[in-house]
Amino acid sequence: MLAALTPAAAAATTLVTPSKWSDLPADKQRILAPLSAEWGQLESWRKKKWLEIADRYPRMTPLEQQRVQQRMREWVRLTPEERKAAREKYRNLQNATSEQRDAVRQLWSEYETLPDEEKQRLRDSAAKSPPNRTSGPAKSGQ
Amino acid sequence: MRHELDETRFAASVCRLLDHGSENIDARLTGKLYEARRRAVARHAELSLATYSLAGVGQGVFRSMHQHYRGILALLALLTGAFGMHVWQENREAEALAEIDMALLSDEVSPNAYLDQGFMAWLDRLSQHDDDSLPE
Repeated sequence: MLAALTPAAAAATTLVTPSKWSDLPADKQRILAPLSAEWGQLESWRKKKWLEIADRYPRMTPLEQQRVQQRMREWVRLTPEERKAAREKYRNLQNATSEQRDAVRQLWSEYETLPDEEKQRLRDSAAKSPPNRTSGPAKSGQ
Repeated sequence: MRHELDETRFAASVCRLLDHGSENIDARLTGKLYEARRRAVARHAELSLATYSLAGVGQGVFRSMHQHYRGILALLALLTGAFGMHVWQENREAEALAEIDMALLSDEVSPNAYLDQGFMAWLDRLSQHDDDSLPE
């Protein structure tokens, strides 16, 4: 019986996930500030994930911290399918060679400088053409 | 020595007198004594029975409650264990997702890149010129 209770006791230490934004410690509120509006609607496991990110946040470089702050709210508003697709493509990219990863980074920075009309034309042509090896889910905008 | 013989004779005389007295007790008095004895024995039997019955009921209740609480405790332990496993699994998944999401969100390439069909089409177009130079 005690053996059965042991994992529960261990889990109890990480069981208390603050459900309200106001219950979060001040340092976590500061890091997760972009999520303050959505926090109450997040599922328990997603709150745990963000608290885990907040724990690791201080070890990131200032540039990485800035990117996380900028992308946090948009990320949380994606659908589960979109987040899953993005993770899969990111994992695929991590399996590529460093040259390939650098090429994708370079192309993304170039793509961002394209005029909006050109980007839209590319999206329209992608929507008309059949799925190919790098096409992602239907998602427009940045 | 003589004194002891006198005492023995005296005791024997008392016994004879008592035996004679008990043999000649009035029949009404004998009946009353018999009835009183019978009632006392019956009363004793009732008390014994009641005592044993109460003890039996108490033991039964105790045993029943003991088994009842054991069942509840076993169920509580099972539920607590299952809940603990669920929380533990959820924490593991949260940690794994935190790791990849943190890397994804802090990367030079925005998560939007992986969801932008225009960018994917652009990559496709460019990779056709330099096949296999880009990851699938």
